[in-house]
Amino acid sequence: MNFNKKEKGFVITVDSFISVSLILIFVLISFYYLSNVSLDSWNAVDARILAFDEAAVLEKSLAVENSIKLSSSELILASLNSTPSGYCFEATVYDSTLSTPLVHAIKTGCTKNSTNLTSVERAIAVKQGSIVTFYILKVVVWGGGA
Amino acid sequence: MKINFNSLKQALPSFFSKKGFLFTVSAVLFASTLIFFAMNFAQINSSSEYEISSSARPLNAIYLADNVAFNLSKVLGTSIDVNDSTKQIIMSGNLANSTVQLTAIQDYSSFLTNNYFPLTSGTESINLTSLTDGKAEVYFGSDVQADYNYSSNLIALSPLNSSSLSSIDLNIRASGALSSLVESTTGSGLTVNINYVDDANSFSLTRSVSATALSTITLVYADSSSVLSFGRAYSDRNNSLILQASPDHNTSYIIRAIYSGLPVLLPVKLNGSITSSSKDYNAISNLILQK
Repeated sequence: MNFNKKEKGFVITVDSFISVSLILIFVLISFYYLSNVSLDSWNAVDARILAFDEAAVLEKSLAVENSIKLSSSELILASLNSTPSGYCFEATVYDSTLSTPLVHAIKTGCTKNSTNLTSVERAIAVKQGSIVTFYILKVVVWGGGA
Repeated sequence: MKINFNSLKQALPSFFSKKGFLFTVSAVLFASTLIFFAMNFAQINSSSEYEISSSARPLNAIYLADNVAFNLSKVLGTSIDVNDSTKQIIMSGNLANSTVQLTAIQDYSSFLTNNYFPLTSGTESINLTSLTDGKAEVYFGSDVQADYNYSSNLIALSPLNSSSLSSIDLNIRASGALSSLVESTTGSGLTVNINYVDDANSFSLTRSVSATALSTITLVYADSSSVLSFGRAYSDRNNSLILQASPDHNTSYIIRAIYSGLPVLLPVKLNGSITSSSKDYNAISNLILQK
């Protein structure tokens, strides 16, 4: 009978509507929980490793030493500009007491407006003749840069 | 007790017998599992934040040791490069007088303790007593040792076991003017190439000397002399090399030593250590110049 066919179609339609709605609700609840997952710890670890690496590169490539000798940030800036995109870097060379900044550079296209900053320090020794002078290099990293 | 399934089927509502019911139940179960996993993931993530951040803390110790080792090579004025595949060591530096070198190492130690370590997380201390005794030792893997004896302006390269030298290139730049050259060489087998330059003279010479007997070449100046020794030259070890510079003549050197056999030349370690500790770790790190 036609009536029976219509009834069957109605049940199938309602049933599918309910099941799709239920699945949507379940998926939305799942997304709610997943949206609460914080990756800040992993990002902080990544940023710290990047800062360590960049500070080591700046020292071992002699960019810091030559920048101090030339009183120019050009070499440091060139190194900062070759860092991975998506992260901003700032490097400052201080005297041995960390009181006077001597050379400063910030990656091109970056502005230091983030509150989520990661910083590391590295000791620098520069030998000129027989005199060794010590400095402190501070590298600051934050996400979302050029 | 016997269950009558037919009567049970009749007793149950008709929709229980529909195939769609089983499908709906599976879908609900699947979706519930999805929620369960999402909840668990969120919970585990938040509870493991401390573990994630603390797991990265031991990196500080590695980073610090690398930093100090590089600084010390600057302080000592030595540069080292090892090619393990060609079994080649290249060392360069300047044989400074002992007072300047000792002061530089002590200044560095004081800078670390008073200025740098307070900036790092955790508690750090450095033991440089093995470098302030007038001699800095560098170990190339387990097979070769270099001694920079800054109290007597001497650099020595010697094997710790049966590794043998096949050739030595020695480039010397000295202040002053060479008066004469005195050679006392014996045997053959170890090829020695010397390139010498000072303010007035220069020369190059190649000799084949014994690796198991002492051979010397003396650079005589008007006021003092520098001595190059090869073979059984250092601590009764065969296949060794010594450059003892005159304290009156500023002497810089580049040594290239090529070994035969299969000596292990990496890692290159400086005789000193750094101790780092925090709530999560305690580490005593070697000062590694090259891995």
